[in-house]
Amino acid sequence: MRVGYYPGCSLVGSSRDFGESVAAVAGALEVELAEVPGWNCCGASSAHALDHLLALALPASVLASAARAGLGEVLAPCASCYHRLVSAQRELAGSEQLRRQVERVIDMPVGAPVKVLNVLEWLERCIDLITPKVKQPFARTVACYYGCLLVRPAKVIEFDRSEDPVSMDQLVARVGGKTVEWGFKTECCGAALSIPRTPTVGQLGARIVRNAAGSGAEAIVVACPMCHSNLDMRRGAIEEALGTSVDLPVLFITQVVGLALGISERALGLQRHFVEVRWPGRTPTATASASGGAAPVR
Amino acid sequence: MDHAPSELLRMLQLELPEQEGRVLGSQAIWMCIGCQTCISRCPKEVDLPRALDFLRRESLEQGRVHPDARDIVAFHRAFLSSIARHGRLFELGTVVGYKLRTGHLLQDAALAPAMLAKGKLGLVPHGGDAQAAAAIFERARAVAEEAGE
Amino acid sequence: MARIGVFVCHCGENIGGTVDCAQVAEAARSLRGVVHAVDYKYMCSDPGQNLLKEAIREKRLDGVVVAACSPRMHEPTFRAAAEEAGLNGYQCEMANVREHCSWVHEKANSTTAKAIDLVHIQVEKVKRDAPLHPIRVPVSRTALVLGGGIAGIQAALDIANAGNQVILLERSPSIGGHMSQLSETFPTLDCSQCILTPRMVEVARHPNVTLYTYSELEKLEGFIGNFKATIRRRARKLDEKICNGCGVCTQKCPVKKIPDEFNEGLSQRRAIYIPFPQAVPNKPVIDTANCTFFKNGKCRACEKLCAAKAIRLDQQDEIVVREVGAVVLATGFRTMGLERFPEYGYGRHPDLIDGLKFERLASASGPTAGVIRRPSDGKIPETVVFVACAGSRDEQKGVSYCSKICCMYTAKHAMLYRHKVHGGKAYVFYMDVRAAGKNYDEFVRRAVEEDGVKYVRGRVSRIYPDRGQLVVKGVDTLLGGEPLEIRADLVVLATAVQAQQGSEEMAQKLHVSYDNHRFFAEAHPKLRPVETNTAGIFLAGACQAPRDIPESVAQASGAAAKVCGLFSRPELTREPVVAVVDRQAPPVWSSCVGCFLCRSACPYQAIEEETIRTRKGEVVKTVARVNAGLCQGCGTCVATCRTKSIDLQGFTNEQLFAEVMAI
Repeated sequence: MRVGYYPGCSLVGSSRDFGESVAAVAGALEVELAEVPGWNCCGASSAHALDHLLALALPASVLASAARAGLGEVLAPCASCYHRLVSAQRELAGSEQLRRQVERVIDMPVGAPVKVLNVLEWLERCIDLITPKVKQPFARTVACYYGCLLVRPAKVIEFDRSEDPVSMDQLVARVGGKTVEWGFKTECCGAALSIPRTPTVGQLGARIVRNAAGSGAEAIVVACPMCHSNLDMRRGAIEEALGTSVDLPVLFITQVVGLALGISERALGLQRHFVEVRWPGRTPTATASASGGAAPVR
Repeated sequence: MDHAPSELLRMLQLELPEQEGRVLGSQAIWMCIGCQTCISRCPKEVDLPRALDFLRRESLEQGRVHPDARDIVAFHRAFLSSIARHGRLFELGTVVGYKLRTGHLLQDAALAPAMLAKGKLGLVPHGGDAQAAAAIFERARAVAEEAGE
Repeated sequence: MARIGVFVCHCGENIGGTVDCAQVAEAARSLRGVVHAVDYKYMCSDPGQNLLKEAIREKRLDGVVVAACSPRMHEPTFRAAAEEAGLNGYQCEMANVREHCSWVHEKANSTTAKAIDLVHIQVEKVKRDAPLHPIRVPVSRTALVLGGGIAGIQAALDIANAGNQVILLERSPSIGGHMSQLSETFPTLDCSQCILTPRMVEVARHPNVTLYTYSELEKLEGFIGNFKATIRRRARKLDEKICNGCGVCTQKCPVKKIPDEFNEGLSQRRAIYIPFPQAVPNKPVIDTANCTFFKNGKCRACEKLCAAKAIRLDQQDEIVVREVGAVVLATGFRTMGLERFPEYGYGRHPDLIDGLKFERLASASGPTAGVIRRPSDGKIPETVVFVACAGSRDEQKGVSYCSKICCMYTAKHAMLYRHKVHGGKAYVFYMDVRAAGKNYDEFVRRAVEEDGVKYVRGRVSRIYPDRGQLVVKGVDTLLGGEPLEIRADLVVLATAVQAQQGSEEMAQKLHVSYDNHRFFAEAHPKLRPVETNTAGIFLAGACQAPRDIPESVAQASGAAAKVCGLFSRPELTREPVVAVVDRQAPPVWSSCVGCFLCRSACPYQAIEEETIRTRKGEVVKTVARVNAGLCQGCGTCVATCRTKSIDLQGFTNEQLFAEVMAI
């Protein structure tokens, strides 16, 4: 099996662990990830905040390259990349004039339509490959956090449901886990304000983490590198907002699936987390490096 | 957020220049991160994310960015210039660019060693076609100018 | 030989100011068949009408054309005048030289020429007019009222008190409708049951009213004055004449855990039950879907325990056919389901309820004896949040319209809560407060000023559970858009009013129009609010649009008045402009070949089959026949007929061709 692959900047950079876990799971399922040749950054929120044409051209360039390489489907695990690709695709499909402009900018034809998959969709499609290979059911109780961009707005992103989505919960259940019902599945983590407005991100993350912990979760499972970063790397800001420490770890859904498939923690990048991934009653394996005075990691 | 989204719309509905000025000069338009919750719930399906994108661009074009929001603009600018230069986001470069633009030189300084140790902070750009990216940015500028944007 | 008279009206300056009326009369005089042509200032006035009558008598006219305003204005006037002078009214036609000519053109020769053309057309038509006579149909003085809520009850009482017969049909086991579920009514805070039950009893005991509860309308055939209603009286599984309503069976039935519909699922009932203590009729009914006997043949406890031996487990539904002259639709409304609110948790949380559930909590005869308790744990809530406009005025997720009654009942609920829980906090999140009725605004002000209800102007974007309470995330727009989060013990949504379940099917059964929200359509939104476009079927109450009790009662009386008007004459006259199928002498009998294309085209189901037989009784052929009672004269069948065997009286093919050729 083969699927087009658009890692996006975060999966090869600050969310390398997400990238590693996607690759590890794909490998275990014998799915070939065919990277979109010469892919560029999708522009994320900075492009559409500052420049409409660029915000369409950057994703269009990725899709056009994928089409040119004959990739009918492209997996974009980063929720922001996924959202940008799908939104740009829809906007261009709706305007002849915009399409012509963008084709001039990217100096390529927009090409045949490419189906963009988010990581949950992809795992759903591979579920029949996954379940027979489960070696060690992921017997934990977790809170599935979807974030903003995977399921909204419903008219653009026609996937799952925009309030109280269930696809990630169902995946976790399929690999042996239990999920909690909680109220913050799609409440925003603060996204790109991570650098310019860290305290805001801390406050938003604090409510998410508090509600997850209060609902009885042992971990938060995410499907977006920004969410992970804001809940994990920014744990210090969260704890400052909460006034107390919380050691609830944050895992990527691909790490959860990978663990169930028996892939090693190292291969899944768990050691790269700021909040150590450990379960009550188990000795920690991955060692955290010196925190350097930022997020107190335990 | 100095103004709620519905307040921003109300100010625009009045079509008065001083109200429009308040909108373009607000912090709110920069605090918005495009989470799409508004359009998902609005009973009138008002496309606020798109409206806010437009307001941000107008605000920049008219040079009316709220002083307290300049660091957010700086972040976006640093992000985009990193892509223009490398084709992909070079985090270290972006952060340095942000710090130079804003003067927040020591922000997150403590985080850097941990990120380096965890392999999350590359010291060099991660691939990407710099030339192609530069060309896209250039052509985007040209096409936008032609269209009179 | 035709002897046509033409009368050209100036209508003051309305026509005369733009059209040269004298010239039109002059031109008319030269038309073949016209023996008399004059113009006059105001034809509709007494002298004008006298001109018409005198001319008919003196000149022995056999056809008249009045060139004036639209026939919708004065056709009846001139037809009546013609009749008085001894000429059949249907040989009097009008040429519209006002709305179709002088009012839409400038003063010019061409305008006068057009007026002359219009007159010419009508002259050709009237030459070919045949005398027609209004169709008389008998009227059956029984009304069928569909729905036993307050609107249906009111309509039934008004019609019955006027001396007519009424059949009141109600789908559920008792009449009373939603009003019987309410605790108190605004703006007086009268106990709802106290003002309703006397009416319920009155209608049940009225000598002119036949009450069929637990019954449905299967079919309605016929036409105004002559409907045939097929009614299914569902089997209660007991003999109502013998049952004395003692209620022992309802206390001893072993099947106990059925969600009680009357209490909106807040309590449970048994498989044999009386819907509520004040039910009319006060007789039990067996819910066969849940009864053990009907599931596996065992039990029969009610049968054994009934002292009057009234249980009849083998009772079957009874089909009853009744002839009725008019139908009043009073089928009421339902409220939007809580599962329609994704951002409020899809209605799964037990402490997130709607207005009807709150009514049952507040009601003295309700599941908590009138104490406001949280459904989850029975505790008395200390903070209650009321959310207005839940689902209404929402194009994305709900309905676009305003449900009218929620602002008032929300104020009422908040007040009742504060009356019962003195230390409790009540918040109402609203967008606007719509309190337009008599004493309504004062009522809402009372909630704010006397009962301390906190009104917050802003919508609620999210409700989720947290540690036993519900977190309500809203906004206060009067504080400049400040977000406001409240931890509530109970949340009451004022859910949208929607059309009753089965409205669409009912409308189709009755051939009544309905809109995209499944509310029944009135004949004219301003001037004919209680009639439908289907003759003989009237509307009352919330089945037409969201409305409160005083309006429903008023409308019900209005519908009743229309019905009584209909019944006040022994016969109905109908316009004779109906289609007629060709009949000829044998051996042809009719040019109709029996293809019945007309039947599929007819929007009013007015085409029937007729078998033509010889005197010996041998079948010749089956042809179409028009039911003059149903036919509305639209002419669709005439256009469809392949053999030109059907024609419209008063607008025959020949007439229409002649009109066209006249131009």
